[in-house]
This record gives sequence, structure tokens and C-alpha cells, in this order.
Amino acid sequence: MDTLFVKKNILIILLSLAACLIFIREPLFLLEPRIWAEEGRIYLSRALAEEPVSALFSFNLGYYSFFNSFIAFIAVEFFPIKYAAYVTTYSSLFIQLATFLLIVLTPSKLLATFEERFLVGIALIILGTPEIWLTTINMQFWLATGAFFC
Amino acid sequence: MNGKSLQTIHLIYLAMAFLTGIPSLLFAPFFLIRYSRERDRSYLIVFCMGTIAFFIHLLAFIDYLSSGDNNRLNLDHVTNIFYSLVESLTVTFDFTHLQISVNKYLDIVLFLVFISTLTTYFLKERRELFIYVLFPLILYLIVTLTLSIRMTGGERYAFPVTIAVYSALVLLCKRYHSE
Repeated sequence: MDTLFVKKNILIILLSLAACLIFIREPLFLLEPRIWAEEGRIYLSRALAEEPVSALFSFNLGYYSFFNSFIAFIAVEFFPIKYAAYVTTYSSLFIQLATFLLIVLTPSKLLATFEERFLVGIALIILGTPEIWLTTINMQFWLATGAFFC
Repeated sequence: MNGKSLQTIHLIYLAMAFLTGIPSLLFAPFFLIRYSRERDRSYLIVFCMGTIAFFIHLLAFIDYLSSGDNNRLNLDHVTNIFYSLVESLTVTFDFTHLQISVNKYLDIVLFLVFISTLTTYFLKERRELFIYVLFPLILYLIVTLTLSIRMTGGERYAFPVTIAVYSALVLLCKRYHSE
């Protein structure tokens, strides 16, 4: 698997740029986070109602979703519940940034040069529809995009 | 960061992707193809992670079916697939918004013409793109829409496809510029 050697300062510049773009698209999501659909109805509810191990390894909606269950577990076990939306939103931000970095730093079959990958990385942030924006339940589509470009 | 630590992060990312929903899992078989062609052991590791994740998701799906819920993979909903395909693909390639087409069905025809032209152009020079890019995306779209609730899909399903098409456009612009 090919990966680029990358200096820390370049990594910081790339991350800052991506974080700024994500913030500019809708600052309110990061300033006043929300809990979105099944994020609260299923994952946080289960984390609150069940034993940690049971909630962490539960199957919902016909598939297993480790990321959602794990973040709900962290939100409930390690933070006051009023901060649950911050935990879910900022962990989604982490995945979006990781996907951006993965695409920019991994030479793929489709994108060979850094220049091409950088443009596609920026597109990732600009073209993401509101539905998949900073919610744990739709991070599976960001992860799938990252897996496709590996 | 050196190549090795990045590769480890890479593997952790893919393991999490495979264990979080079905979409990423559909790209796992193509890592086996890459292993057979390039003999890079990390691709084999990724494929094995995908296989383990597949069985976990299979257990989840059996559990779901046994609960009596029949909203997924129910043949009564099969007619929704075409509509969901239109819905998914016209969100980010909205030709009506650009005032090129007049309705969503013309939108999808224009989208398919656009994609076919782009694909033919690239496949002429790099046939391997069929295995690594086109086939995985077609498989991804068909399977995810078929497995979605009532086969209705949604705009979120088109995200990897949108980014892949955008990548092709970037390559096309670069080629045009260099020529």
C-alpha cells in the first residue's frame, strides 16, 4: 500500500486548511452542535439504557456500526450528557479530516499526483451534501469514500 | 510521519470503515485483486479485515431479518431501485439546476451520457481503471441501493460516486491543460 512520507508542518497546514473549509461551510454545526436522527434515537439511547459492552456490540438497522456505537459510548461514559452533541459532532469532524488526509496523502490508481489528490480532497469538503455533514450516522459514506481511494 | 506509521493509520482507518456500515465493505474484494496483481501483503491484510467484517455484518443482517422487520431486501420494493438511482445521482449532478434539462429523468440520461463519455475516454488508455474504479463503483451503487431501507436510497449514497466523477473531471482538465 503506497503512502507518502509527510513532514509535520505540511500535515498541520493541510489539516488547518480542511478544518477552516469545514467550519466556513456551516459554523453553527461546530459552535452549537446538534444530535441528528438515529444518532440520538438509537445510538445514544442504547448507550444510556444498556450496559457499555451490550451497547458497544449491538446490531442496529441490519448492520454493525462500530464508529457510532463507540462514539455514543464515549459521550455517555466520559462526558456529562449535555455535551453529547459536542462529542458526536467533533468526532465526525475527525473522520472528515482523516478522510481528507487519506485521499490527499495516498497515491491511488485514479489519482497519481499530489496536485490531483489535493483538488479532489478539497472537492470532498465542498461537494459533501448537508445530509452527511458532521453526523456520526452518515460517517459510513465518508469512510467508504476513503476506502475507495485507498 | 514516515511511510510505516502512515500505513498503520491507513489500516486502522480501513478496519473502522469495514466495521461501520456496509458501504466500505463493498470495496474490500478489490483489495484481493490488487494483492494478486501487486503482491503487496498489506492488501491481503485489508481483504482479510474485510472478510471478518463481512461475517459480522451478516450476523447483524440475520438478526435484523429474524426480528420480523422486512424493510430491507424485500422484493416488493424492487421497483423503487430505478427511482432511488435517479434520486441519488441527480442530487450532485443536477442538470435541471443548470437549466440544461427539464426533468429528473432527462437528468439521469444526461448523467449516463456524461459518465459513458468520460469512461470511454479514460478506458481507452488505462483499461485497469475498469477493475479499480468503474466496477467497484457500479457494484457499490447497486448493492447499497438494494440494501437500503425499502430500496429508496438517498443522496448520501451517491457521495463516493460524486467524488470519483469529480476526480475524473480533474484528470480531464489536467490532460486538456497539458495538451
